This record gives sequence, C-alpha cells and structure tokens, in this order.
Amino acid sequence: MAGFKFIYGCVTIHVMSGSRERFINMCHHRKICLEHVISGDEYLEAVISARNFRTACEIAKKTGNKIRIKKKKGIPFIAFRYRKHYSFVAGVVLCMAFIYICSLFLFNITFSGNSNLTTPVLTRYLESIGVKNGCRTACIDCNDIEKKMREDFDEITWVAAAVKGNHLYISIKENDSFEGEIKSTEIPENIIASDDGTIESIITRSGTPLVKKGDNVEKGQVLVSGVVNICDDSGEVIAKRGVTADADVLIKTEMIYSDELSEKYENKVFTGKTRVNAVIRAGKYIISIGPGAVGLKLCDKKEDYTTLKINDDLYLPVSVGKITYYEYKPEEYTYSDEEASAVLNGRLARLLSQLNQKGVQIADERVKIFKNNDIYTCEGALILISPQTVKENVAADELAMPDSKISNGEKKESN
Amino acid sequence: MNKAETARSLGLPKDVVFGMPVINITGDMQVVVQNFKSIVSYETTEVRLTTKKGCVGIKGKCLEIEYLDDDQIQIKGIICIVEYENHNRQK
Repeated sequence: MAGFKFIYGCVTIHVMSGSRERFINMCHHRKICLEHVISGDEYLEAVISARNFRTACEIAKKTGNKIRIKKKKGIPFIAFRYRKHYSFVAGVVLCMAFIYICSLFLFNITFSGNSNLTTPVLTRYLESIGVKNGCRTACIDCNDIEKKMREDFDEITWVAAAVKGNHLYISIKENDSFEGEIKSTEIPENIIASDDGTIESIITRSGTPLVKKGDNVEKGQVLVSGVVNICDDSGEVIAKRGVTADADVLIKTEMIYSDELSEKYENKVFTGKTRVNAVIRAGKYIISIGPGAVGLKLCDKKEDYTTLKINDDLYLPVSVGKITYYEYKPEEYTYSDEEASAVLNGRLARLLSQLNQKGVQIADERVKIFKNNDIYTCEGALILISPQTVKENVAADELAMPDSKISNGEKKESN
Repeated sequence: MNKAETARSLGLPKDVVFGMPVINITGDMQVVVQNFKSIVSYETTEVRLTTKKGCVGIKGKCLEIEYLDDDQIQIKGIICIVEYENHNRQK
C-alpha cells in the first residue's frame, strides 16, 4: 500500500475551518480515500492521493474551507523537482538501460541433480555448444540443449533446461546403474594381472580361468583367458571360441610405503595486522580500492565476493567484495617425537582411507617410524587386496587351431 | 416472502442484504466500522457515525481516523465505549 502511495504520489493536506465533518463526508461521498486524519481545534490534516487533490480543492471550496498542501511525497513530485537536473535524469535512464541490456545476456548457469557429471564438465560441454556466460539469452534454445545433452551423455536419463531472467537452470537425472556403453558385439578379451601378487579369490563368469586361489602371479600374466575350448566326447579340442572374459579377481599385493618428515618446520604466526581493500570485479577486470598490502612483509590473502543481482533470476555482471590481507611471520618449530609420529600416522591414515574409498581392502600394514638425523621416516609395506586386473584383446593366433588338429579333423570327416 | 425471510432461507449474511453496520474492535486500540453512512462529529475524544441502524458513538482518548474510504472507517486510539445512540429496538 505504501509502495503504491509512493509510486502514484500523495499529499498531506491542511484544511482550516469549523466544518470538518462536512468536508470528510463529502470526500467519503466522492469516494476519496483519507488516511491519517488528525483533528485539531480549527483544522484537519489528512493524507490523500495526488490525483484526488483537485477534487478535494473543489470540496473545500464548496464547504467554505481553506485547503493547503503541507507535504508532498512520491515519485511524481521527485520527477517534477529534478526535471531540469539533466544529469540525474540521464543517470536514471542509463541505469534502466543498463539493467535492460544486462537482462539480455546470460550471467549464471545452475545445474541440479548431477552427481557423476560434475559442474565443470557440464559447463565445458555447454561452452562447446555455444552456451556460456555472456551469450544472448534470446539465442538459447532450451529444447536444443536438452536434446543435445541427452544424445551426448548416456548417463543422463532426463534433462530440463529453462531460462529465467538471465539465469539458465538445468535439471538433470542421471542413471545411477549406468556402467559405460554396452557392447553390441562381443570382442574376445583376456583378463591380465596389472601387478605382481597372490590370487586371493577368483570368480569367473565368462572365459577360461588359468589361475586358482593361492597362485602367485606376475604383472601381465593372463588370469582369465578369453578363449574357450570346445571339446568333443574324447576331450579333444575341436574348436576355439573367443569371448569377453568376465571375472571378479582379487589379488593380494604388497605396496612399499615411505614417507618423510623434517624435524624442523616453519609455521605462520599471524601478527594481527590486516589490510582490507574494497573490490569491484566485472568479468576479468578488477578495481581495487584500498591500501593493498602496503606495510605487510608476508601476508595471506582472503577474497570474498558477492554477485550483484536485482532478484533471484536477474544477475548483474558485477561482483563486489573485499580482499583482506593478514600479515604473518614465519617461525621455526621442532616436532617432538609424539607430534612427528601423529603427523606421519595421520598421513598414512589418509592414504588408507583413500584406498578404502577406491574399494581396496587393507589386509595388513607393516610400517615403522624411526628418526634418522633430523628426518623422521615412516617406512614399510602395505598388504592390499584389490582387483588389480586389466583387459586386453585376445591375439588372433590364440584363437587359431593347430594345423595338425585341423588335418586330423578333416581326415575324420573324410573317413 | 420479504427480505428477511429470503436472507434467512438462503443463508445470506445480513450485513450484505440489509446493509447493517459491521463493527470490529481490536482490544482497546482500534475500531473498524463497515457500512457506515457519514460522520456526525469528529473529536479526539469522540467520533460519531451514522449507520442504517442509527448513530454509533465511539468514545475514548486520542482518537484518530486512520483510514477512511467509501466502504469502511478505521479509528485508532484508546477506545473506551462503543455504543448505539437513541436505539429503542423492541424484540
């Protein structure tokens, strides 16, 4: 309500006379809305809209009251007051033109629902098809984006694109059970060991297993062959068929682990001195207002930016923020035995956690921490159980039958 | 069938059918009167309105018309009494 009053303009009127009630009733009869009506001894004050002022004047004349404007408020009065301030008018026009021009270009892309396909991957893909920050929103064809994304990403089962203001929203649903392109034709492939180790378990679904649990294998050794022998009743191989070997093979391998930590290290001790700079960033251009890092010898920098926006969908290509410099002094410290041990154990635990996330089981860890001169060393071996296998194509000669067997076979047929 | 019977049988609100005043009082700080006709007097201690059912007097302190349009009037201040004046309705 207050917003409308400000847009259309309103005036506070001061009515002087004794017949206040008559004035109010006539305003009521003429459907003039009165607000904040204050009654004094010989006067009346009220707020009315600017467009009703002339009617109120007529009423005041009829009722023998004197009316005057006490206060004016609203855009019509501001515009009238500044009508000759050309720079102000030009500024308002330019501002509106700037906002309008900004609304024509894309300034933000938001992806939702993606987990396997990361935002940078999708952003790069959109750039490759000509959709990027700064391009005209009118040129963006959402249907075309949806179609291309469905075609180019097999993982995507559903995609919706929508442009709101200068913001492109892309919602994606991924196929969680997708495991790469399904091969339409079977290519004969062997499973080979990618590292030396001992077979911990082997479950073959397709192909001929050449090793069993407990066997020691070398890097490059064929574990499951993609060649399946077809034998006759006497056990003689009469044909060979190529298949894609498929098996779960777990190999126990030894991984040599070594890590070092210097006894002395540098630590940043912050002095508490800071310098704050205001920053305005437009694209790659940055305007910094402030002293910079003057007077600070060594410092860390922290940047905070906020993109300006008119509403949730209309972003401006300008970010404002601040850069804070924190001064520090490097000081040399010495690790105690416990501290060094904790740091090295922490690093090892982090590595084991990463291996676990990759599906590697840790069977054993034989690691020792010792000090040699000024260096703490963590050394040993990790026993890992993991599917250390790769696939390679079956060589053509593996599938070929020996000449003698072919001739024997032909003889049998002729007999 | 007269107006009252029609309104009763159709379940229509009486303020719409008869133009009866509707008075809403919020605590002792605000009174809103709908379907009023005109203002008889307006002082800081008393506001008197005419309605179809007679004169309604609102007495109190620091009374001020907050809002007035063709349908309703909103009065704020410290409200003490809201009464129908010269009202002799027989049941």
